[in-house]
Amino acid sequence: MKKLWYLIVFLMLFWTHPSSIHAESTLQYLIDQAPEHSIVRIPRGVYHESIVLSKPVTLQGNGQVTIQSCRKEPVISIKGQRVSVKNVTVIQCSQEKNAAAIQVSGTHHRIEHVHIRTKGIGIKLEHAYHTVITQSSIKGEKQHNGIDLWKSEQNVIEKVRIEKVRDGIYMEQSDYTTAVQNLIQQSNYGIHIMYSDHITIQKNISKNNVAGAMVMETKGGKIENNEFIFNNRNVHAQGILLFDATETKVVRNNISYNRVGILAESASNNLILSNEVRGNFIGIQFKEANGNIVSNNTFISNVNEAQALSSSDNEVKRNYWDASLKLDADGSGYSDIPYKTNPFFLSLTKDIPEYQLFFHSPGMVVLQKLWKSPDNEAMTDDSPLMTAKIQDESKSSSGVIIVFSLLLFLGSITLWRIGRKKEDA
Amino acid sequence: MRKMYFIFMLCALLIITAACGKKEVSPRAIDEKNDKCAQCNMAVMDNQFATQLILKNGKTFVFDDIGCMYKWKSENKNENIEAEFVRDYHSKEWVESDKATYVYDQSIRTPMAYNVISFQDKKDAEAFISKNSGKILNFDQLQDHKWKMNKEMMEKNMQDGHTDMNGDHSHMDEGNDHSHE
Amino acid sequence: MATTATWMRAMIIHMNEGQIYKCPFFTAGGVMRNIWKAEWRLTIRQRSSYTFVFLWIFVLSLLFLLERNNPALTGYTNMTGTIANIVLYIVPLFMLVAGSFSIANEMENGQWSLLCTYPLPTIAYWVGKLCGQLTAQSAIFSLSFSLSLLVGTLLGSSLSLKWVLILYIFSISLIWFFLVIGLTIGSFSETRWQALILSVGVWFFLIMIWPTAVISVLSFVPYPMIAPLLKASLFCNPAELLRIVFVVQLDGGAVFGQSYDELISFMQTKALWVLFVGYMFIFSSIMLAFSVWKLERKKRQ
Repeated sequence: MKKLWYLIVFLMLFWTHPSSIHAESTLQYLIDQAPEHSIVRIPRGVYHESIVLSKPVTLQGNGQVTIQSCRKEPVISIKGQRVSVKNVTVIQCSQEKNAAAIQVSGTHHRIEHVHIRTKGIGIKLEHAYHTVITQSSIKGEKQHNGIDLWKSEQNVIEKVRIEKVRDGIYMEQSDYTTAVQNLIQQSNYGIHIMYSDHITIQKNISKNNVAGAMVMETKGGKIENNEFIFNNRNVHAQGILLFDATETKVVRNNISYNRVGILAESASNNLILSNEVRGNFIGIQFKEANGNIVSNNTFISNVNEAQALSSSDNEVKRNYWDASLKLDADGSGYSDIPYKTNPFFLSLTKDIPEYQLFFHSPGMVVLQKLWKSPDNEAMTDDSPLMTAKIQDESKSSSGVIIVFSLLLFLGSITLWRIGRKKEDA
Repeated sequence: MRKMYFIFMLCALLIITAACGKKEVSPRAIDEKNDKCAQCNMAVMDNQFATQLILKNGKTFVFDDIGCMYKWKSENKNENIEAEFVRDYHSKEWVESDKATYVYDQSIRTPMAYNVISFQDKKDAEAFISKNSGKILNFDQLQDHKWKMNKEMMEKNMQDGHTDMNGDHSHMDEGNDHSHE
Repeated sequence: MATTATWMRAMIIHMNEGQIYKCPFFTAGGVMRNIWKAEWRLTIRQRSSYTFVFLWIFVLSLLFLLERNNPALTGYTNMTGTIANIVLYIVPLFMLVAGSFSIANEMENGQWSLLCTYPLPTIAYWVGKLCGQLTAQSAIFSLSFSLSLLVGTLLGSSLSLKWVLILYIFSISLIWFFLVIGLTIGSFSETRWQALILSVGVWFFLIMIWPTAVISVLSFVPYPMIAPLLKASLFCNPAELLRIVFVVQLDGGAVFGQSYDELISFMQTKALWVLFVGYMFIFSSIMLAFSVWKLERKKRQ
């Protein structure tokens, strides 16, 4: 009972104190006073409070404006419609789970030039529609998603830089979401799509994540001109995963230096066209994925170009495979020798994944001959492209190498000369 | 002499393997960095939705959602399953799946949206339902459960789901937050 | 025959210095140095070493030149894997043959029995042989490596220094391990013919059918034992261990999957090199012990 009294007294102190004295200077007060459709200009400074925007106003920082809060509530809550937030830095330092820096619901909001540092979620959209998030940044602590969409539709995320979060952009049941020109790095999954149809993912860069993009349970999406690169650190890392995705177009992406470039599992009726798949440990991997079209892609420098298991029913044609034997007798530009991928490694490691230790081992050649892998399960490109369509990347300077090789040459020739000398000399 | 040594080593190996064989099956801890769901490829978080399945040969699979485990089971019917474990919704302790009580409700967010959670105590499950909504399923009923990722259904019932979500926000938050922990 | 004379003269000069009985430790070192130098010279002077140089320059230049079609080669790519595999096919075989012949040759032509009449410590003999072979073979490989690197770079392949260094260290370590095994094979064989057959057999086992052999053994083992046994198997086959270290150093470790994550993470730390040198030492000591045991037996016969 006594404790309760203390608590009440404490709460009264806590709550009444700022509101009675400083109420006029809080942002919330400014916002509450502002008429609808007006612009609330915030003077430069650091504001320790969490605010709610529930009517159509524009909140704009003049100069360096930081809004900071360590409470469970979102630092900025946006509700209703046509709210804009511009030019502010938002810091959410609450350790509570699910704490968001900005929470959005309603329609036609705009978040622009907002820079977020958060221990929780960056921007959480729940039942938000037609909202635009642009030219902003989010830096997290790897625990929560950068932008989390839940049952939100027709939202646009563009030119947002997201770092060190769980999933960069996570969308669940959020149809018609558009993500353009974002950069997502050092996170768990770059872009994670779940049960969201007709999404558009264009010109994003997703690198150094566990997965560039997880495209799951989706239909009718467009994934174009993105870069999914250097997603190779985790033991399950991949450039792009298509899981139970249908009618999705994966076109003209650069999918390079990942553990697995494209992994398609239980995915059907997708179009994988004109992608550059380069330098991955495994270029493309199909597991029980059928009815897809894989065409005009360029596979270069992948340690293992393609693996397919129970995925014979795809239309694979006119891709460039640098490992394929090429012979073009009729000058069509396409090779007459089909390129057949081998399901061997996948079927070997399917039941006992530990055997992945033998990946690209020199002795696998022998095992491959002995191993009976079902022939009809392989993925076959009937008319591989003769020449690759790629743009040259810049080359590194070779001075150091020349110096190194000269030193090595001098060293070894000295050893050689000593060996050749008359023994008594 | 060398033969003796060889035989000794062989015996030692046999004893070790035999000892391993007799060991009681117990679930292993979740490794958040490396574990992925055997069904859907998503990372498995060390949270209340994780499940685990141990085959007779000692191989373990982890899943991020109870639904994923059942989907896997339906697609791999000829595997010899030794034990399966689910998590208690509150304590996140492993519970043998046949001793757990399950709650299904469309408003419950789980990682793959199969919308089923598990409890060690039936009382906890009942308390959850009285606070939120949902239907209690025991282990046998769960076997007949239609595992659907209820997107379409949820969209139809959006309005209900909506009010439900906001009805008890404090509680739902735990389930809400599936992809992080 | 001329080289044999060189050899013997070196030995006899040393004996004549008469230090053998006075200071056995120092003398053992001295004998070892002489064998080292003699072996080194012998190998460099062989016509086959020139063949090696040309072969290596040809193969490596070809590989480096193939790289021209690709942008800066830094990580674990198709070409990297192929180069590593070609090195893995060729180096062990040649080193096994070179190592085993260097001892078997002396068994065959009677030089060994001649040597037995001198109070020559077997360890010094073996270590001297290893050092000599190692010096000569590294010189041969380094010469070819540097020349093909020059050719490749001047003709426009872009390689990163880190990549080149890792490949070089990988090859030199392979040379070390397989010379050690080769010398052991040599110690166990009576003739060059025998040494050749054994060398090819060991090469075939450790390089060609290693995965097949390991997998067929592991099929009798309960599942939970597979991962630990596979990890242990790495230490039984230096070629396989070196390959894993090579891939991990090129940031490709994730490809081996979840079971090896801890091992791979460990291999990305500096502590790897301590373990590596330790392993090199222990492996070589075990081989040395086997060889010396066998050679001593032969001596007594």
